[in-house]
Parts: sequence; structure tokens; C-alpha cells
Amino acid sequence: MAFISLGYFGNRIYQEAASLRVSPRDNVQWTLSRLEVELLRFVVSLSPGDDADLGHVRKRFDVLYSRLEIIKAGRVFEPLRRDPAIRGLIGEFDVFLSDALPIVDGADDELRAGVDDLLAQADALRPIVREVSLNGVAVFAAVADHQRNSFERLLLGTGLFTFGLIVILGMTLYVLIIRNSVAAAKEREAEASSARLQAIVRVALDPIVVANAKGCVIEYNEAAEQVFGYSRKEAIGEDMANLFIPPEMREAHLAGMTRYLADGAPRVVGKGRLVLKAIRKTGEIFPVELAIGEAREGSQGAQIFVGFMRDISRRVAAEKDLLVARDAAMAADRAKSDFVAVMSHEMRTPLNGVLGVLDLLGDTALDDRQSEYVDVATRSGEVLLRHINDVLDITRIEAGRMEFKQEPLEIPTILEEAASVGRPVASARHTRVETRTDLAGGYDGDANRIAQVLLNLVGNAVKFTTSGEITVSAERVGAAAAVDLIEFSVADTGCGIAAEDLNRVFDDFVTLDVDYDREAGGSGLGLAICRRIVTAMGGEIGVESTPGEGSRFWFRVHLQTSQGLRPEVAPALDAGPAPAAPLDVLVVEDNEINRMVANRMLSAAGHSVTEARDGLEGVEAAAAHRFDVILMDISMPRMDGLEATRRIRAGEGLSAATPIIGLTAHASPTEQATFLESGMVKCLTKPLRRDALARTLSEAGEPASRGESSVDETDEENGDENGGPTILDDDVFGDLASTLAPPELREMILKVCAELEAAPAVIAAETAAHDVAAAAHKAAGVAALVGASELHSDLAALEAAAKAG
Amino acid sequence: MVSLIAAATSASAGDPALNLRHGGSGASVDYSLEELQAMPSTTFSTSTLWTEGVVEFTGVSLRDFLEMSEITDGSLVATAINDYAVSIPVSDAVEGGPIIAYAMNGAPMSRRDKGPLWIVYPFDSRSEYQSETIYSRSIWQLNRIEAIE
Repeated sequence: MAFISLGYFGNRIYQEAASLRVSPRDNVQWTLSRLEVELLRFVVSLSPGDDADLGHVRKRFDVLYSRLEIIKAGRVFEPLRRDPAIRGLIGEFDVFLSDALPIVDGADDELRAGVDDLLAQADALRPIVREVSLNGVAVFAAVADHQRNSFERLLLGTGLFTFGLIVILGMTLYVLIIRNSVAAAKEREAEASSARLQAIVRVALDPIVVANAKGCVIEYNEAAEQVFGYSRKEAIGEDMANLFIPPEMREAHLAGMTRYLADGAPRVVGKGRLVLKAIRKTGEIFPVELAIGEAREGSQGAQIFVGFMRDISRRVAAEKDLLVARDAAMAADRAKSDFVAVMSHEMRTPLNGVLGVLDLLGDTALDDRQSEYVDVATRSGEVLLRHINDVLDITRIEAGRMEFKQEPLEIPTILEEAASVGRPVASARHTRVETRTDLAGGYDGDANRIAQVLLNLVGNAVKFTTSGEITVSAERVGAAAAVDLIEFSVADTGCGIAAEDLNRVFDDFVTLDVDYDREAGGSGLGLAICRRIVTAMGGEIGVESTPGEGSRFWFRVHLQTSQGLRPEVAPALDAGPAPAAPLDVLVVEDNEINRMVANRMLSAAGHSVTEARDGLEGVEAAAAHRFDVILMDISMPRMDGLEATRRIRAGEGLSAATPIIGLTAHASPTEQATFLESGMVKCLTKPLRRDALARTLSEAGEPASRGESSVDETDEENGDENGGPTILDDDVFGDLASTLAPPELREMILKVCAELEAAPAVIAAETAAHDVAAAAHKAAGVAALVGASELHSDLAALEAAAKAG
Repeated sequence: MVSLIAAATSASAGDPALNLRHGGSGASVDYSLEELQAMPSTTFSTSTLWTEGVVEFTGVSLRDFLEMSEITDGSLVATAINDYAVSIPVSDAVEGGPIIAYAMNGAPMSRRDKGPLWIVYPFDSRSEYQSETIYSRSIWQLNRIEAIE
């Protein structure tokens, strides 16, 4: 459209220019003034009158005439002729000329005669001519101005139009420039981005491969070259299946790709990292970790698959090594515990034989020398046993296998136990052993281990003290919620320990008794084991000493305050083996020596013994005959003790209800729990000692009454096994009667009666439920002691009710 | 028309139609109408500012005239009966250029009608001939030419 407009303007300019060039404007003003001049000359030629030159007159007339003709007919004077006033004037002139024509064309004398007339007429025309001339000037000036104006306007219009065009062009140019720079910037950005991505892909340490929908490789980085072995040139354009996928997997791959392209449901694409096998150019198959993503090249671009891979052969190998190492470590650990178990069993078993036989021997008639030999042998055996136990303890603690029981403790009892063991030797060295504590019961813990530590400390104290005093004490040094910190200590007035040795004493294999014969056995592990035990219990152990004045070994442990309140009167401990009624005992033990020992011990105690050589025989024997007690060894061939126990219990044999006591070399609480679960009532550890055996038998001996599970001495319910509580349980009372000497028995009965009579009042006096329960508990214990089962169970119910609120 | 013819005849008696004077040498030559008519004539048609429509002019081409007079350069001062004078460069006298016209539409021109001689350019033939300068050189009622070097 701009072109059309330009064309229009151009044409108009051209036309105007052309018209200007053509300039059909002869000098109009000149012509008009000429008219006046020629009229004047005509007049002048006429003026001499009679002397006028007629030729001159005629000439002047012709000139005038032709001039008017031009005005009348000339094209250029058209605008003039349009003006009516001027037309009128021209008309008048014309009239004059046509009137004068015949005279001028006439004969000379005619002309001469008419000169004056002509003169007058011509003179009269002068103002007319003047007017025509002036009017013409105005008219033509106007015309010229008009033309100039229109041309000026045209030029201006064109100029503006052109200017506008230029502006538009300028703007267009500007827009184009901007667009161009934007495009250039975008291009630069795209270039930079592309270069960046290229760099990333190139520099990546792991192979990156891009393939199109047909599976042809379209991108392949340096890392890929290194991992797969194909050069970039070799890889690009090739089908990736042929390059990277092991031959046997290619078909599956192809099927997978086809399926994915068809249904678009990804199984591998975009599903995170997968571990697959890939193949190198060399043909080596290796494990690879792969992640595939899908993309499109641009918004309408082709579908591409980008694969990030990692050669994980090293990692897989490392994992395998790790597994192997772990298995080896686990195997080693297992071997260690197996070792512990085996050694525990293997070492204890023969020792059992030795000690057992020595016990028996000691019972036979011996002269003094023989007695002495037996003593020595026994002591040595016991030392050996202690060593074995120590070593096994250490091994167990180191292997983290030492477990601690949480059972109600009687602290005074434990202290007394330790003291009494040390007293014989101490007395021989003129040393007294005392206990001191104001704690009683109410704590849970592992009594055996605490006793073990105390025994060790007492033993040391006795060793290093002559004519002195040894005090075994326990006191509470800290209290917290449900847990108290108890400090046990063994203080002696012995020779003390030098300051520089104080730190060493707890180390392995450190003994300080250079000056004394090592009669008690100083492997140097005693304190080391104590330390381990205490530390394993979460406690601390230490020593204070002043050389020449004495030492004080202490250890602190946290003990849980007992959940159940314990009777403050502890049942008699270590009252020696009560003479038990003769029992019918079945001994199930595979080891011949052990069997013999057990047999002799039992026989010596007055029991009748039946032997069974393994679990199977044991079960058969138990089925055939009702025994009072069965002693069941745990580890036996063909059928072990646990299985045999289960069978006996489950079976319909005559001894199905017989209490079974397990004999084991293992002593861990979990194991013991297992035994008890299988149906045993108790566990004895080997080597079997007469005293322990006798005690156990005396406790378990009455099958009808007590039959509940416990390893320690404390006992709870009774009587429920055989139909309801009786007012006075004869068996219990009988036991008590047989245990205590008559005067003691009488005293006890009186005490008990007094307590029980006071009990209701005492209980009623308590207001808090807690205290009611405590009182009831106490009374229940007392009742149980004498066998007042019915009373006991009533009181127990009261206690339970009080506890419940 | 009758008067025009009459005028034409009265003019021819006595004065020469054209006087040519050489400015440098001072020589002058008179030419009568018949003498001019005897020279090689040129005819063309053109419209002019002073006539109506297209008119046929017959006359002697200025170039021919000057050639005969051996005038090759310089300029001419052409004067008319009414003492109008104009300077015409000799270079204007070209083939197809101005003529000293003595007949309009085949008929001689009377003194009352721009005659007897009129230097007419073929205005229509060229746009260059349509300028003020050329118009001013188109002198009618020509009777004298002075050639100046």
C-alpha cells in the first residue's frame, strides 16, 4: 500500500513538475504592458495629425492589432478571458479596432482625414487598457500563488508521507534489530547450554549413552569409550544391543523395547537404578548399574533414551569380599563360642569325675595319711575347677556372653556366705571375718556373681592378713528411681598394697603374693575377673590401701529395687544338707564316670538309684517306674536331656509328674530358662557336688508339695499343685521339723504363732494400700514357712488385692 | 481575412521583409519575402502559447538561413517591428529547430497577425522548447537580425 501511495505522490509531483517545466506562462505581465505600450505608440504615431507618417500609423496599428489578437486567442490568456470584467474591456478594445480597420486599410487621404478621430478614440482607450493590464496582473498573480500553494502542499504532503515512511521503516528496522539481537542472544545461550551439556557428558566419569527409539547409539561419551572399549566412531550409529548387551540377553531386551514403545508402560525406563550384566568390546561380561531416562529432543523432537551406567565390577567384588569376611568373622565368633561350650563341657566333665570320686573316697575309711592325700587332691581339683571357671568366665565376658540374672537378693545372706567361706582359713591365720550391713532385701540382681566377686575379695583379704580383721560390708551410697547404688566392700587390716601397685592389681595375671606360698591358687586372674564382672554389671571397682595398715577393696553396682517385696526373714541358707527321706532316683547320664559318681553319692545319702545311659533309656525307665526324682544330664547322645524331659512330661509314663533336675555344665541363665521350660524343676551345674546334690534333693525331694521352678533358694507359692491349700501342710511342717532341732523348732513355732496372731491387727493398722500389701506379704511368708498353706494363700490374696488398690 | 491579406500586400511594398546585419563587419543584407520563400523551406506543426490549437508553420529553417549567410557561431539579436528585441544564440539554429516562418497554415501572415515573419520553434516537439527563454526568443513581426560574434 505504501508503494501505491508513493506512486500516487510521485505521479502528481511529476505532473506538477512537468506542468511547471512546460510553463505555459509566457510572461503575461509583459504582454499586458506591451499592449499599453503599443497603444501609446499608435497614439504617438497619430499625434502629428496631418503630418503623421501614414506608413508608421499603419505599422503601429498592425502591431496593436496583433497584440490584441494574441490576448483574444492565446491559450495562455484563457484565465484572463474568463474574468468577465476583462472580457468586457477586451470587447470594447475589439470594437475600436474593428471600427478603425476600414479607415486604416483605406486610401491614404481617407486615413489622413480620420487621424484625429482615431487619435481621440485611441486616447480614450488608454485607461481601459490600463485596467485590463492591472486586472491581469492580479488574476495571474492569484493563479501563480494558487499553483505555488498547491505545489507546496503537495511537496509537504509528500515530504510528510516520506517522513512517515521513514519512521515506519526505522521502527521496523529497530524491531528487526531487537529481534535479531534477541535471537542472537538466544542462539548464544543455546550454544552455551549445548556446550555446557556437551562438557558435562564428556567429562562425566561414568558412561553416558544416548540411543534413539530404534536403539541406535546417538551419543557416547569418553567414559563409555573406556568402559566398553568401543571408540566413539565405532559406537555411534550402531545398535546398542549389539554393542553393550550380552548375546543371551539381546532377545529379552528387544522384546522389552518393543513392548515399551508399544504400550508406553515403563519397566526399566525411569525406574531408578538397576543392576544388569553388560558386555565389553573384548567380550568380557561385567556387572553394570544402569539408569535409563526417556526424553524428547525439543518439544517435537525425536524420542531418545538416555542411559547412565556405572561399571560396578569392583563394587560387586568388594561386596563379595565383604560377605566372605563377614561370614569368616561370624564363623570365627561361632567357633569361639563353640570353643567355650566345648571346653566348658570337656574340661568340667573329667573334673567332675575327679572331684566326685575324691568326695566318695573321702567318705570311705581312710587313715590320716590317705585323708591328707584326698584333701590335697580335692583342694587341687577345686583349684583347677576354679581356674577353669575363671578362664571360662573371662572368655564368656569377653565374648559378651555373660548374662546376669535379675533375681531377688538377700544382701546379708550374700555377705555372710562370703564371710563364712573365708572364715576357716582366716581362723587359721588368727584373723576374724565379720559382716556389716544395714541393708536387707528388696533388691534384684545376680546373687551368684556378686557372691563370686565378694568371695574373691575375701579370699584375697584372708591371704594377705595375719592376725587381723576382715570386714565384709554393704551400704547404699546412692538412690534413684527404682535403682539404688550399693557399695560392697571388703576391708582388711593386712599388709596393704604399695601405691605403685594399686593400679596394677586388677590387671590380668598380676599377683602380689610373692612372699606367700600360693596355696590358694594365684593365677592372677581373680581380681581381673572381678573387674570384668563388675564392669559387665555396669559398676565400678576399686581399692584403697595403706601399706602396713590394710586395704579396702570396694565395688559399686546398681541394683534394682525389688518389684516384689521380699520377706525380711530369709529362709535358712547353708544350713547344711538336711537329711532327706530316701528317694527313688533315676539318674540319666551318658558319661560313665559321672554316672558312677552320682550313683555313689546318692547311695551314700541313702537313696536308691536307677541308671539310664541316655535320654531314650531315661524315657523308657521313667515310663516304666514312678521315680521320686530324676536327675537328667543335658547333653547326651541319641536323645538329649531336654527332649527326654519333654517326652517324659508329655508322656503317660509313671514318672510323668516326677520332678526332673537337670545336670549341666553350662550355667547361663538363658540356658537354664530353657531347661525349666522343658519341664525341669531345677538345674545343677557340674561337677556334681555332694552338698549341692543333697540340698537340691532335699528341696525337690517331696514331689507332692513344692514343685515350682527356681534355681535359687527362694520360693513362692506352694500347695497349689495338689488340690488346694490345707490348713497345715504336713510336708512343709515335717520338713521344717526334720531340719530344725526340737528346741529350735519350738521357739520358731512360738514366734510364728505370735506373728500370725498379731498379723490381722498389724494389717488393719496400715492405711496406705502399699503398706497393707507389705504387711500381708510378710505374714504370708511366715505362714508359708510353717506350712500354713491356707492362711498363706489367703494372705497372698489380700496382698494382691491391696496391691491392686 | 481579407483585411489581413490586404495588410500583407501593403507591407511588402517598400520595406524589405528582413534585414540581416553582420555586427562585426557591419555588412547588412536585405531580404525580401520572395527571396526568403525561395530558400529551402521547412514545415512543421505545433501549438503555441499565442495561437489556438495546432498550427502548421512554413518557413526557412534558421539553420539554413544562417548557413547561407555563413554565420556559424555567436548570437543573433532579433528585433521586431515594435522594437522588441531578443538575443538568440546561434547554437539554437539546429536541424529540427526554429524556423523563420512566413506562412501559417499555408497562408502568409499579415502584420496584424504576428507576420510577416515569425521565428517559431517546434514547441511541441521538445519539452526544452517549452521554457520561458525559448518563448521569449519566439519573436514575431521580425524585421531585423544582427549577427554578433
